[in-house]
Amino acid sequence: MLSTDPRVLIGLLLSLRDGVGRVARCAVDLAGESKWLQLQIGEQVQIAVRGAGNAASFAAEVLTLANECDRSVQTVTVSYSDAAIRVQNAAEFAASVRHRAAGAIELWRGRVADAEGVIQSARENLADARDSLAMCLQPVYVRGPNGQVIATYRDCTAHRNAVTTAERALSSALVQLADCKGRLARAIEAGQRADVSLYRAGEAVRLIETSTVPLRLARSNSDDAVKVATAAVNASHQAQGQVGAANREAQQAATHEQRCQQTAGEADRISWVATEDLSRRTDRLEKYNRPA
Amino acid sequence: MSDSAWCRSQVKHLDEHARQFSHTRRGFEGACSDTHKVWADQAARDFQSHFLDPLSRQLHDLGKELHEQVEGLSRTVAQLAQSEESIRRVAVLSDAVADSVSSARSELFRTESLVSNALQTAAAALLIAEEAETILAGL
Repeated sequence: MLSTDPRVLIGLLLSLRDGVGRVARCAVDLAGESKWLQLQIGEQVQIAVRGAGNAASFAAEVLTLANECDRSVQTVTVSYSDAAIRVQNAAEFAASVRHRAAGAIELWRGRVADAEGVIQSARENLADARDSLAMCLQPVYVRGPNGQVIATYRDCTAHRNAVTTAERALSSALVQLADCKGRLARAIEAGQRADVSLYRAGEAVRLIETSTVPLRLARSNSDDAVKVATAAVNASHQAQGQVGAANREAQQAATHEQRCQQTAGEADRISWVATEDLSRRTDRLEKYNRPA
Repeated sequence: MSDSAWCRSQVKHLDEHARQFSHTRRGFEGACSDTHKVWADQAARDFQSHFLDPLSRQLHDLGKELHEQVEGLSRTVAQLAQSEESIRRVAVLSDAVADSVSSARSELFRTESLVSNALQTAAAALLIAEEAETILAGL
């Protein structure tokens, strides 16, 4: 049931006036709160800007670090390849020398055997020559018709010459054998050195092969570092983009805040005007309603 | 209830007051003289046009502005949270890069050491092989 009592109308007007005042105060409070939020977010944006700057700096540093590491890996890889070639060449050279030494040993062993054969033959010849000479040295008797010895003679020059020749041949064969044995000994020594060289070359090859494991790990780690550093740079760009967007949002919100302040001021002004108006009308209604 | 919601509820509340005022005014008209009816009618119209309507509009606009501002601020907060996450990721990734580079350097050092040893050993092998070759050449 609606009231027709002017006092009810006055009450409504007073209630309206209170509501208007409260709404205006609320608008002012909200604008103030917005301003406070603006300041808070502004500070956060500044912190984020600094953070994004630092992140960009970190990302650039780690990218530089990763690229330097990558260059080091490339350099060591080149050194490794060069060393591998040199080691391989050394191993091939050692194997070649070992092969030639083996050939020389075989050759001079053969020659020693030949020389020994020659010596054996020379010894036999000498023995034969000496036997012939000994036989030659036996006296030869020339007998007369009655069997009496009428003359003796011996001519062993040829046999003596044969002995001398055989002795020289034996001597020469012995010299030849000694020479062959000396060369064989040197060939054996060369073979032993070649064996040592081959062993060391094999050791070098094993070291090079072993070094591929850490080199592969280094390459893998370096690749990872470059990938991750690139991701860090991208994340840094993302952070900078986000901070830029937040900055724009904060500026837009600041614009809104200014408009809210203006609106609140306008609401406050209207509130005052309405309050004055209501006050005036309330006075008139009370005057009208007052008993004569 | 948030302040902006309270503001909107107050606008509704004022509208309700305005309707009650109008109804009350009509009841009041029945009880008053014609002069007072005219006066009350004029008072109601003045009140509506000079006060309630502009205030309603202003408050409505204010609520809208505040709502937009809150949305803008929410977006800013979300952007800042993403930014913080990105910055944190950069820090984590930077540490990972430093670890990888450290490991790579350690492995490179090992490689260089092994390669150096291999070269020295190969040089020794070459020297010995050359001596053997010299001996062979003299045969």
